[in-house]
Amino acid sequence: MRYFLTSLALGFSLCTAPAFAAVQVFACEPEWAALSREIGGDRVDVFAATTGLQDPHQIQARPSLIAKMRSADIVVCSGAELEVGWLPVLLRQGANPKVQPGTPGFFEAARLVAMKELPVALDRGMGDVHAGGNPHVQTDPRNMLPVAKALADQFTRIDAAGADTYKNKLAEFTTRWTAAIEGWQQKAAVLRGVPVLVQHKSWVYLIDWLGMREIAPLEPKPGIAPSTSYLVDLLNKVSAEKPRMILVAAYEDDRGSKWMSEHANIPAVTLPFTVGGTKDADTLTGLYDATVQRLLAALH
Amino acid sequence: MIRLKSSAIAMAFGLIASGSASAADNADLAEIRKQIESLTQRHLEDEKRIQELERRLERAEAATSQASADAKQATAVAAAIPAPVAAAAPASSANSFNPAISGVLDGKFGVFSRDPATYNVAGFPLGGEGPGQRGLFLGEAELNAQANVDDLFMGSLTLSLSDDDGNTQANLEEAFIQTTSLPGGFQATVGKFLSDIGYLNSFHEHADDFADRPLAYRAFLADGVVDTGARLTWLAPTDFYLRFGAEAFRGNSFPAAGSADHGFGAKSVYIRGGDDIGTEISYQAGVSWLWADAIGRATGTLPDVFDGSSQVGIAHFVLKWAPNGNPVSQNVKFQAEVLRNHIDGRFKGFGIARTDYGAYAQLIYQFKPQWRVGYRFDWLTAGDVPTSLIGSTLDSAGNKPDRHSVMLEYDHSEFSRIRLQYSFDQSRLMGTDHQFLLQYTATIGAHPAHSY
Repeated sequence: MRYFLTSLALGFSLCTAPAFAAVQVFACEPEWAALSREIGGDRVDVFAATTGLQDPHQIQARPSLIAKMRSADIVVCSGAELEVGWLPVLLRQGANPKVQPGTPGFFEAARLVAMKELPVALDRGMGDVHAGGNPHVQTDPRNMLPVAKALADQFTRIDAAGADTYKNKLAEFTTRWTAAIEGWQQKAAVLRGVPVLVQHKSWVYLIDWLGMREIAPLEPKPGIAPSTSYLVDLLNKVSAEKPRMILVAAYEDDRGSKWMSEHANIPAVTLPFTVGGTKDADTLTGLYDATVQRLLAALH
Repeated sequence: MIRLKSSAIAMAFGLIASGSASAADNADLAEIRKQIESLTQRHLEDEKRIQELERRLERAEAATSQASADAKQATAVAAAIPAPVAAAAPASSANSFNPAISGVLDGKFGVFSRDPATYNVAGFPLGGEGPGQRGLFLGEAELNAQANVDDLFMGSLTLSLSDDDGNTQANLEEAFIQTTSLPGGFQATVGKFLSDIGYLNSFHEHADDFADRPLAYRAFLADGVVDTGARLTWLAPTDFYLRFGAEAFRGNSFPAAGSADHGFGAKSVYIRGGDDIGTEISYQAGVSWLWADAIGRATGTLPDVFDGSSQVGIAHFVLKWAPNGNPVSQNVKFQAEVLRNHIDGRFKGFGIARTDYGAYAQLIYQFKPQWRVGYRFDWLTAGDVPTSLIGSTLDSAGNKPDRHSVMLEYDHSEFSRIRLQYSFDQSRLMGTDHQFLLQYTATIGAHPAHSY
């Protein structure tokens, strides 16, 4: 039996040997998978644990994810408790010492970004609030710059041989990205000051970036679906402020926003939220192209 | 060969150790630098934000026509200022190393057509509790604290408190440490913990999809094996999830009893595998085997004493489906387990050797956010008894216990749940029992993370 296990283990390690050339990246969300590919190029082998059509708050700790966690060299996540319902289980059951919190293999984007909506008080009576602030930092492309820089550092620490690759890729990305942000901002200039409703409080970074004005979320409390009577009340309250559109993430249940869209007679605009959320958002650049385009289309 | 292997292992350990030490120093420095950077950035951003808000406020004050909007922004300014303070606070607080603490509050209201105090399952001695009580009664109030002990171990402590007509009973449900950083996919657990056999056994009951455990669990495992012992698991480095586990327990948890003097009174081995089929379907399957020795195990009020061994084999299968793999709005969960129980020993002094079978299958459907319905069928069949044991608890008198259960559940948030369950129960020696259970379960404190 022992011999069998040893030879089995040996066999597996031989099979996986070529993979040591690359860094195995376990990305919690598609945007971090895309960014990891931008910075890591061919040196990284990226697995995205979720798709753009899945709610990153509520992912099941599936066997396939545990298996992937086992062989990861680095885990790249949003952090700020976004993955609190599933990542701890994966980390525990994945039995991988390289990616535990506190090691170079554990990377949280939220640590590198100026967090918004940090709660002054913590109480579940306010809904599913995150103690670390609003975790949906990827909706503002400017946040990608500090995260990309830190990610390149982290990749270098894990894979010193690739230092030059990461450095060059980062420099190239930073130049391209800075120009792209400029472009999106020019296109989206007309959105400045536009009042909007949001389904869930997912858009605080986007709204801040484009200078829009969030009037209210449709959810009575974060993570709690609105009832029709709540929506009726909300409609009465906000109609004076003349919201122009409702922002909905592609993965969200659209019942509430549909109702509001019909009754307030404003468009509900489905935004990709992350890479792969909508068909036109199949790359990191495409994510913001699509976001800006969809917002502009809803305005006109 | 052996020496060569061990020196290679020692070298590997050395490499890992030295590598991680220097990496840790660099990591610390870089971490501090990063934090300073991000703090500076935050500060700059906050200043910018405040300036911008002030400008907006001036503009707003000038324009009297938009009075209501102005008021909103003024509160936004007020709310924006304390935020950075809250951000800086956690680093220096004295209790920031406190473990994640959570509590589970559970209560039920029971309506039974037959007196639950006389509950029995035809042909089986019961090691645990029955289906509940009439009227309002508390389930177990559970308190869990867990945290990393250091860079090698995590620790978890679970106390359950139950109210037995005014007498509070405290029960040490789990108290274990578990390795977090053994190499090679190994993981060791020591202490008192829920056994990993089967599927349901490793879950606390408040996480179940029904208000009570299946009959096979009730009869063969007294609702679940939880004992003091040690466990070693190995997770294969494959994309297909494959975990091997072996456990050894003192032998205090039904079907074992009092067998600690013989070393490990209960042992188990198991294999679990699982994967995704596309993005919408995932599954887990496994087989487990439990050997348990009992010395002077007393059950029932008489009591019935059993000396001997039990072998419980379990095969389980769980399949989940969600549109786009996003379970929030809708999802389906199918779950089934087949159990085989072989006992060999002396029951009330008479020799007995027989094999029993039990199984359940259940389907849970979340048809819209917050609402779930479920159906479960479970059954048991007892082996024959020798003439010396006719009329004893082991004698099922030809009855095959079975039960149909349906449930409707409302989850207001991830933290609260109300469930109504009805069971058409034919597990007693005679007659049908209609069982209604209305249950609430609430979680307070740390956000729970759910196993698959």
